[in-house]
Amino acid sequence: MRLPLKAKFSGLVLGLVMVILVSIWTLSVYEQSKMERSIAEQQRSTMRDELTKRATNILAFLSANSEALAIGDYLTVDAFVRDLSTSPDIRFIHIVKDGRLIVPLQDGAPPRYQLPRGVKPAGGAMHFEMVDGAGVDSEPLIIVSGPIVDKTIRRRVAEAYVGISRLPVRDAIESAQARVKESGRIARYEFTFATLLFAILGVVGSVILVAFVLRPINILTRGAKIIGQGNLNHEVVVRTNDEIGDLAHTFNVMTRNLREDQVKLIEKQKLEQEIKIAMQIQQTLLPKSLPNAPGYSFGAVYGGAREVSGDYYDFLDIRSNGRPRIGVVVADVAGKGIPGAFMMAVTRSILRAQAPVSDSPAQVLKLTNGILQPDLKKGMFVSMVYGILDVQSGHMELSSAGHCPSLVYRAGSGSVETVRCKGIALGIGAAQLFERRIESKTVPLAPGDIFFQYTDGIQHAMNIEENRFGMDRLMACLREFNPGDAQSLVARILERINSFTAGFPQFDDITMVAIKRDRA
Amino acid sequence: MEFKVEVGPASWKPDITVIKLFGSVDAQTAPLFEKEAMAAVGKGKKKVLVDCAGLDFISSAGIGVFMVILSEVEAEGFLRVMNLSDEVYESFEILGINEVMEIYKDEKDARRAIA
Repeated sequence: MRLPLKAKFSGLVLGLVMVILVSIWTLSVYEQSKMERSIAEQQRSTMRDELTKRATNILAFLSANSEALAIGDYLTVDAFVRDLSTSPDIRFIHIVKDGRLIVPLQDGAPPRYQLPRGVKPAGGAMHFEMVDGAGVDSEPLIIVSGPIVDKTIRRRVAEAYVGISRLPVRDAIESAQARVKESGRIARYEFTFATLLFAILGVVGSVILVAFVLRPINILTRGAKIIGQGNLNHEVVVRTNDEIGDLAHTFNVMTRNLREDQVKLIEKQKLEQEIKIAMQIQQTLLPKSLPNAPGYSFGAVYGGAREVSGDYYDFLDIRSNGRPRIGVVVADVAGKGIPGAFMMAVTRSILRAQAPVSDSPAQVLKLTNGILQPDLKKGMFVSMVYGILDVQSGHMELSSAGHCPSLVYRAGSGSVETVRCKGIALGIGAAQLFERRIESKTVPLAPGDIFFQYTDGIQHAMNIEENRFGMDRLMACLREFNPGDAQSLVARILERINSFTAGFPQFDDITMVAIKRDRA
Repeated sequence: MEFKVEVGPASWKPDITVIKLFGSVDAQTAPLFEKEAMAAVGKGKKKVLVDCAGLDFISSAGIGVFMVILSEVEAEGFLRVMNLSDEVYESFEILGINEVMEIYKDEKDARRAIA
């Protein structure tokens, strides 16, 4: 069952107050009854002392006037006794001599004295006896009995029995007890009232306190809901300098971290999406298969450093005047991601559109630059080698737009030639400058010779010691791997590069194309 | 070597901004080079001399940054380079950058030409 904190706190306070109330009630009742008992005891003993004193006085008075008794002057004694009996609580004073009641005086001869019920005959000393129901209307009495001694003759002349009412004593005790009881009751009510007042104050106080304590927690709860709904910009404002303030601070830090992580995640996803799109563009643009020309084998390897490459290669089937020709393109686009892929697509389209226009690679590159350069974004350029292989003659005409040199493996000598064609990259200079600089070279391929074109990612491939693969290693590969067809050559070179870099991350793309003229 | 860019006025001609490059400028470090260089150019410093004495290697992405700077400054000022290592010079030469940008062998050469 869900019980709000307010109810819990109020219940706790109420419970505590109730426990205190019950304990104090019990204690006060117990203390009061103890007090009543002790007051009664004290009163009783005080009253007894008082009675004793009075009885002693009466007996002492009678003893002092004992000569009247000794000489039988009962009239005088009777007058004394009547005088003494005026006290409201004295019920009777009986003086008995030789078993007969001589005072108060009776008509005729003194009668035999009937001892009050429960009273023994007086002995040599004063004796007290509590007698209930001995007086009129069953009044409780204390009966004092004692001898009356004539001091002169030192003889006992009579016995006295004095009945004193105990009612005033009892009334005094009862009223004292009633007063104690009443004041106890009033004290309890006052105390109960005060306690209940405290209980109400406690409940109200605890409700206010809980509300006060809950306020920042409620703010936190609301904040958590808002954040839970996806608003990571929400900041919880709790300015209390306590544990809840600390919690709110931690909460805000957590939200901030979450927000930053989310931004990073979105950026990462965006980047991944961009890479995916760029890769899709590239994959559709790269040749699906290698050319098929009798007497030649072709090979190509294409690999982006980080999923998306700025490189591309292409093979074109060009027939001019019935002579079969194969165009080969290897290019490096300065720019990666979607801009790079887009640039590559545009370049490829322009080149493909211009390729049939001329048999001269230099002319095709000039035309391509003329169209591409004015619209290129600043800082973007494309380096490219374009070669046209005359399948029948084995002559390869090459032009380079600022691309790295071509390599030719000569089967006859077992050596590797470097073919450099002057030229500037597409997009760097205006048409005039581009056209002035570009040149063409014709490379004849003899049986067993290999034409090899790459992008600078191969030279620049780096291992963990920061050594680069370099031209010497590449040329050594060509000399070593020349047996076999062109595709196995490029595959083995790639393998060699990968074992050189040994997993060290590369920032440049690796693309290579090989054309090998079959041995006769 | 860790990639680093330093931008400051030339001691011998304060209106010329010298950008010193250290380490390698490749696809990874090119954006920082571009940011630093364009910040200076954006403040109106259109006479730029790039000191490549500390530059070990440059990829096409790095050369792209040179092209961006060039397009920004060529109307009012210039972009020139000096102290190129053979390897870096070759990268410039292959692309034909030496056709659109003045390249000096060293500072002495640059001072003589610019003054």
